[in-house]
Amino acid sequence: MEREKRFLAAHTAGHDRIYRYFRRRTADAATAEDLCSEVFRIAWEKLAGSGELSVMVLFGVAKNVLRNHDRSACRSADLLGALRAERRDSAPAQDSPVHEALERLSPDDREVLLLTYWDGFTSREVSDLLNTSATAVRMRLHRARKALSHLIQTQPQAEGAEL
Amino acid sequence: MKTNSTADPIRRQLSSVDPAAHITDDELARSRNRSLAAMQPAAEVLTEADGIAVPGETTTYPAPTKLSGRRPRPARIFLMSAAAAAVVAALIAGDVIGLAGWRGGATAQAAEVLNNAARMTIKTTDPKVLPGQYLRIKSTNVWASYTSEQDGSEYRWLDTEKSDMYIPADRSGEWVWQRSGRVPTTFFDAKSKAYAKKQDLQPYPELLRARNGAFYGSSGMSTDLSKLPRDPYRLLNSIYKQTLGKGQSVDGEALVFIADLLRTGLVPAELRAALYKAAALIPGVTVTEGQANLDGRTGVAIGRLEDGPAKSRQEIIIDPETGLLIGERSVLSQAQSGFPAGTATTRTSIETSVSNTAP
Repeated sequence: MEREKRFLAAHTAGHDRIYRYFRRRTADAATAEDLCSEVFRIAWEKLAGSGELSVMVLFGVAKNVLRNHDRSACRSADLLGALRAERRDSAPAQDSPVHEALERLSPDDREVLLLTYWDGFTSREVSDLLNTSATAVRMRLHRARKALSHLIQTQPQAEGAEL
Repeated sequence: MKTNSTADPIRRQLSSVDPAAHITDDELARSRNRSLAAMQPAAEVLTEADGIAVPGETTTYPAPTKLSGRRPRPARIFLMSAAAAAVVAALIAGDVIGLAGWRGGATAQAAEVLNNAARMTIKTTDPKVLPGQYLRIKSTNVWASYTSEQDGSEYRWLDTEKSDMYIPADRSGEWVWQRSGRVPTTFFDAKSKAYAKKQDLQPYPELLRARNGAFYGSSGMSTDLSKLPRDPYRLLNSIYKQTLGKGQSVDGEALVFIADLLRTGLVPAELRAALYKAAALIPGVTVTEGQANLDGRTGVAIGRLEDGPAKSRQEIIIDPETGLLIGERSVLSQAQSGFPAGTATTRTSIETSVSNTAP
């Protein structure tokens, strides 16, 4: 029962945040649910030994699960390409100036920004997750913020979205 | 980050495009449920119990019914998979984490009806039973009967039984129970009707007396109502603990437990209110029918579709105006063992009053 308790503690602490993490970075709810269940399958395996599973360790697993998913998503991209294009057309939210600006940031800068403002991590946590120093994260965050506000302001349709 | 969320324009703009901003509780609950299943012990081979649905009882004699609320329910012989039971066992272990609430709850509409009913219930005062008086619980019960002969032929119909129970103010005193016996009342095919006629199924009326409600040699009231928590969340957890491993599903059986308990007519108002609120915490509970009629009284049916092998809806029917329980029933959502879809295989309507005398 001890293992179950540790699993449940990890699940309670981490599930919702991890689900949101996937929901923000994958196409739909079904995918987020798939990946989430994969994270907790791995978590259960990990709990075979002793020790607890912190939320940060779960997120480390989630990051790898997402990377593997992206790889296999790339492999099947040829098949799904047509479908994807269709979905984009039907999702006008993706065309907002903020989205466009985000897309133009470097992937690393974007991830620091999103981990901070969407997922609610501290610089320390972001640095743990990205295997870098907290100082580097703060610098990157500063740079990303500047780049983003610049990109949003230079876009002609930005005013409406401002206030 | 401790940055003020409204003052920081970057934070505000990013929040406005957060794809996770509008995730519903249902969506989260779905994923929670699914990822919880990861806890299943991988080494064990787990199989669902197979079986054929047998609604109602296989005998046409009145079965001993304990007032503690567990009349035989062969329709629910399907067991949860051992895996699901393991998950739930772990969930409620040691009260570390509750099963209730965490996986979602009833639909907003059903929760509203239930919580309203709970509010009205608290306002009502239970009939006061003075020393020497009896709490009288009058009910009409419909039960499904199903029998099969050696040659494989099957017969089914619905029986009705009227029940009148007198419970003394002092619960340890002598209870009196008048049963009309079961009378076949509804047939679905001529063959069964002819069979029932040939068997000459006469009702078998009974007048029973037993101290502490220990009818038919049972141990009497087995559920101590005073020990059940009044906090809805804790109450539901304690129900999950008691029903674990029974019935077709965790949530379905929890609702059955609530219906069974309410049906006894013995549940005091404050516990009734808590039971309604607990039902509002059960995932999958919906308003199944706007207006439900039971013995000429109208109420709202709140229930849950059981999606196991025996597809049925367990419903409790309450008067939304007063919060009073009118009755409960279990309705087949698809044809089964020759019973057409929509048949109420169990149905009880209840009326409670105070009586100065008992038969």
